[in-house]
Amino acid sequence: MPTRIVNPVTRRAFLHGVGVSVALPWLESSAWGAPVNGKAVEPPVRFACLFSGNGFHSKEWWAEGTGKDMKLGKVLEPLLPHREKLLFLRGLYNQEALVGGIHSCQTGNLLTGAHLAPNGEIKSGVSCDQLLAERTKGQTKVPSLVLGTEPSIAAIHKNYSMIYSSHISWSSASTPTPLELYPALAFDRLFRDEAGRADKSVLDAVRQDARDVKRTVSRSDARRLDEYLASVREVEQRIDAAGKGGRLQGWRPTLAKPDAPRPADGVPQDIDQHMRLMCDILVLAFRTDTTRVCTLKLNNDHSSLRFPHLKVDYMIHHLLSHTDGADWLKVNQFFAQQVAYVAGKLDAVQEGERTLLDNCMILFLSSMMTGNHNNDQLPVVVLGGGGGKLQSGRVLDYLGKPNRKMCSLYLSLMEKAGVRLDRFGDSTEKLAEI
Amino acid sequence: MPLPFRRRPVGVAAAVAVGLTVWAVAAEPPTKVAAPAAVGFPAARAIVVKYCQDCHSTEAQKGSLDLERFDTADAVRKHAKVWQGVVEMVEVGEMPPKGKPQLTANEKRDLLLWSRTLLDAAAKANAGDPGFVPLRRLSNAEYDATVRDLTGIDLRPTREFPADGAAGEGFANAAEALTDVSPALLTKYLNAAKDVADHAVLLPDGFRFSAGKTRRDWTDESTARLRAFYARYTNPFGQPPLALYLAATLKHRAALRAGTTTVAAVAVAEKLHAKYLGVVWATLDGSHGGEPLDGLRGAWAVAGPMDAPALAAMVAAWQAKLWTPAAVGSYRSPTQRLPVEPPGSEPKAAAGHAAFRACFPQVVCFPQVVPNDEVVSLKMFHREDADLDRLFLDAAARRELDDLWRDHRTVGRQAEAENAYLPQFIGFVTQDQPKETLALFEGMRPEFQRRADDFAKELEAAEGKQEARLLTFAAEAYRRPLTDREAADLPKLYAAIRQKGAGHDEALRGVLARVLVSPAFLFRVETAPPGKAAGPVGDHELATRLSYFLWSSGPDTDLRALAAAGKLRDPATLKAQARRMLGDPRVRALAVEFGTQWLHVRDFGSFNEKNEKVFPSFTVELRRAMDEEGVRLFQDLFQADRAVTGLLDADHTFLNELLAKHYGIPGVTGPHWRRVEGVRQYGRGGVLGLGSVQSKQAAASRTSPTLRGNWVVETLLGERLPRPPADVPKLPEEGGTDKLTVRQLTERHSSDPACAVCHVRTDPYGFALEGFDGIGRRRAADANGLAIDGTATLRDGTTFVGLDGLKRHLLTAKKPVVVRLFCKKLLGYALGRSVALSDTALLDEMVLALEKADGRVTAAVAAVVRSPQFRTVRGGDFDEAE
Repeated sequence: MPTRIVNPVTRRAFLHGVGVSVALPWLESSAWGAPVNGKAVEPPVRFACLFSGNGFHSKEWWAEGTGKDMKLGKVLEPLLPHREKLLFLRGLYNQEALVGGIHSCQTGNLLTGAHLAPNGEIKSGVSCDQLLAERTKGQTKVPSLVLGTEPSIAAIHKNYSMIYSSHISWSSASTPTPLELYPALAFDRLFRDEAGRADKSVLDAVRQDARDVKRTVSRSDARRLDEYLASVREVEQRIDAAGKGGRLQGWRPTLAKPDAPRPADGVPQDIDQHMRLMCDILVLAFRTDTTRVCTLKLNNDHSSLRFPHLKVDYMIHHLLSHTDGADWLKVNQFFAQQVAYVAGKLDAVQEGERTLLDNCMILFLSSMMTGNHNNDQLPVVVLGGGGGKLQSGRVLDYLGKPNRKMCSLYLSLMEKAGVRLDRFGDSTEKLAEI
Repeated sequence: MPLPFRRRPVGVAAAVAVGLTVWAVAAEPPTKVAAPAAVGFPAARAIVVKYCQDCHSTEAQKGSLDLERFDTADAVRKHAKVWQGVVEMVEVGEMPPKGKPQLTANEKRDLLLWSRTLLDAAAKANAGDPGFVPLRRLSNAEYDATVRDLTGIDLRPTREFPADGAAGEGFANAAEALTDVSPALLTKYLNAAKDVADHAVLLPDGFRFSAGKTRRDWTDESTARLRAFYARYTNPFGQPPLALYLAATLKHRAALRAGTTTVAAVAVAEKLHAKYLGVVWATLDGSHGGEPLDGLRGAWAVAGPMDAPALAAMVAAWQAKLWTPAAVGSYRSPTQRLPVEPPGSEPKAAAGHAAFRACFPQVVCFPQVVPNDEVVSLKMFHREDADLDRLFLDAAARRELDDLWRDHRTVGRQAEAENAYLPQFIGFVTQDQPKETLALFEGMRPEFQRRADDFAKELEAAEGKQEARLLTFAAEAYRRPLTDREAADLPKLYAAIRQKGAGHDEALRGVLARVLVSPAFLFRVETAPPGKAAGPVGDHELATRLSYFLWSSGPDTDLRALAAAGKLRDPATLKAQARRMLGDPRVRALAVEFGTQWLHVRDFGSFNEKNEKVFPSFTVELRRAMDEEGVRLFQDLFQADRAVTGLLDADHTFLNELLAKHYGIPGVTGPHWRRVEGVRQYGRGGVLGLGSVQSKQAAASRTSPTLRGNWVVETLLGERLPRPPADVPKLPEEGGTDKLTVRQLTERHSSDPACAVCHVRTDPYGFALEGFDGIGRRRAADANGLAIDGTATLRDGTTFVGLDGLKRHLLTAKKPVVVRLFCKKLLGYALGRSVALSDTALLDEMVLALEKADGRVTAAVAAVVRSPQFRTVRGGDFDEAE
């Protein structure tokens, strides 16, 4: 049922607000990186979200105890070495995702908390990662990185576009942020300064085009051209920044240039290699401070991945999720291993007194608890210390509490990353105890 | 080279579902309300207040739905679409939710009756509304096809773009799914545009595009074109097939002499070139020239067609005596053959020899183009075709050849390269050589310099023409004439880039890239009429709508010309163009993007979800063949204007050997594709016989009557099914452990009453298709040897057996539903949006048009393109928030 949009914040609002009009090229930024009163400020807080589709094993997603004594269910066993930097959140949910009760209508709003338009329309809300990127734009070379391993599915399922199953990042209510599936291209986006001599003039000329076209089209189309214009502007700014070298002052990342080669073209044949490359890129992006916001969709909701390296290739991920058996658990652990791998890599990097992991907030979640689409409570884990602002090594249970909204969690996390908001999605208050 | 993506979308492996039929714009024809609504708004509202408004109040707004605001019938009318959603939820039984008080049968009937009357009226009131179609970028498929038609090269720049999603009626061309222009995508567009520009080959009168990006590629390509030209006339050594010419003169000698045929007619019949045939005929039938022609004529006069090879050998023997080979690679000889007089010849024989040479040159051209007759060659390319020209070419062919060489000289940069190389060459070849050799090459310096200078001038002269070509290219890319401003801005940009120190080549490519990243190219821009009311789209916009509907690409020359002349808006012309375009091979895009996407088997070649141990033959080659069969089924439907019902009951399909073997159809050999008749007996023909469909709607290791049944219900009948309940027990992946068939397992599973309400709607259709195994092969028994039972009993008691029974059911009782759903899907695809209430009348019209035309699909297409929905656009002030 098409109804009014709960989250009225549109991309355009940002563009005309804090975003484009006042954003500076990244290296001239004065926020996180710059010294205050002559003293170098702390390293910035980075935010990542790792998504795994179709939920987890019904019996093996749990945690109890605190700190070193924390015990974890089998799904999360790979994260045991990081338990002291882990926050296990029980009982959180997303009100708008209860509407449809099937894959496609509970994933597209996982990070937005917005109502999803059915009937072949595409509408969610701005996701917290993209909001963060928008608000902190100009501080790093790339505002955010959105990675994936599975292409979008072109179909309508149970009256909802499958775009919702394959996108958790939304740069505007009607614009799912495209996922980069090619490791080499993700690498290029971060590190390749390929601007040709003509690029600037070309983009400049094209911007004039868009302004001309805007005059002839409908009001709603003119708004979309604004988005196009903003994108042109952003690419131009990146080209501007490309030639200018590194930061002038303030905090510096531990790594100036990537210390790994550009991945090969194409997509690796094996899913484990593909995921590993994407994880490496995430880590590299944070180490070099090329971006501070990254979403890695390890698979699609309604995923069709198979796992030959685990000897689980007789059934695709989605169907496996309905079996809830030993192989399903094995596959769940494989996903948790990716998170553990990222955490381990980040924890090995020292940034001043803390590790890079301590300066991160790594969200690991799914859009349903188990393969049965049940999402009255969601599986959520946060790794890292949020720059010392996040007290981890704990299990927090929100079940039965009045505020157990995912959007409240996002409000809390965004604040730790330097973006304070009064409301996000369907929430107006932060999550208690975080 | 970008690599193809490995894992591809699965499509939707839908789970179990149940439901009641949905009316209105769904598949079924609008329900006729017998009596005027006896139920008034107050009664309907009372029901909503009683059952719905607790959750869906203005305050609570559960699911973001506020029903409290519908306090007058007008409010309902104003937001008919929202109301329609409410009615659907109630009708399907999804609302009120389980555990809450439910409507009584009478209350449900009353609410639906009142709503239907109101919605019918709303549909009529807004009939023909073009609807909300937001500004859309080209889909990946459209981008690729557009670039292909613009450049003539199938570059597929979107290979590494993010995959498109679907919206509207489930197609990737739906506007709602094509609004993304994020910086990430824009960067890809910019890089793709630059890459396409790098494929441009600059020519004296403009540019063309090549599959390659280096000068070496372009030169090789250009050389190949020249060789292909010469190959029309001679063998690889420059010799025409003389025996064929001689044979033709012998075979038709009598008729030619009697005047009952002409040389031209003989040339056509024998597939020879008329000009040379005329020369050979005149020579042999004449009397001039003396020896050796006289001797040849003597032999010819008494020869029959079988003697042609012997005559040709006579000619060849003389050619060997009268010519001697020379090397052209170092410019020492102007030609590859020099005339000689045989030793001991009388001086007076020279005239006869010359006459012979004039008619029978040993070679007529140098088709190799690249000389390799010297150890170290100075000459990059050698043009020698004066005899070919004299004996074979008409004016058009000569022009073509001249153009090819002109382009070749530009692309190969011969004059420039040779001049630069000359000093080095001289140093190399004059070692251990007589002084005269040195002098010979030293003497060439001024000439080489002059040629290089001339070439530089030519290049400079070409710059203007190339810039002019940019403007026509831009107009094609923008799918409309350029505005004055655009026409002025493109040269300005060119100048700006040159000012930055770039050369002509770089600046030109910059402007090309700019055209391809412009909103006018990337988006389907449509000018909105002022105000809120809809108005006709512009001529060029209409051409664009038509070409993207039928070809997924930009308008071709014909469409552009009609649009420019203002003729396309004439309904008869529009219809004629639609018919022309449907007959064109480019309609393959419609088959893929509409046809296979509708069936959920688009890009089936990438579907790799089968258990390889159970189905080892399900290879990528087989999947691609299955994919191709589906594409050809739809391509044939549109190209040959076949009946829509043929999608169900066709007795033909398209096969190659691999697929025919998979299907067990004998007599199909070889990898090429062909239409095969009489395939019904093998369970093929139409969409239900497609291996792709039957494989897709099955599990990894076995069949799934539920998936197949669900597919029939949703895809062919268009019924909306509610979501499956949570906690559904799963069937074992590999059936047979209990010695039960998949059917028996499914039945046992659904004997639970909670499950049965769902499965009774889907499974029977799937049971009828149990005669196909998990990868679409026909079978009488399953892997355990248990017999297949294809009996289906529907909820209403209808019974049929197997594939044929299902087809009969769909083509009789359900024919109106199936045909209407096809129309609905086609309309949604054509408009790039969901079909709305206001399209009801158009759907009626499409169905009626089909009926009148014996179901032939062009009738439905014609109804779409002449509709106001297709030809108008909403006013600029009409906002998307209704």
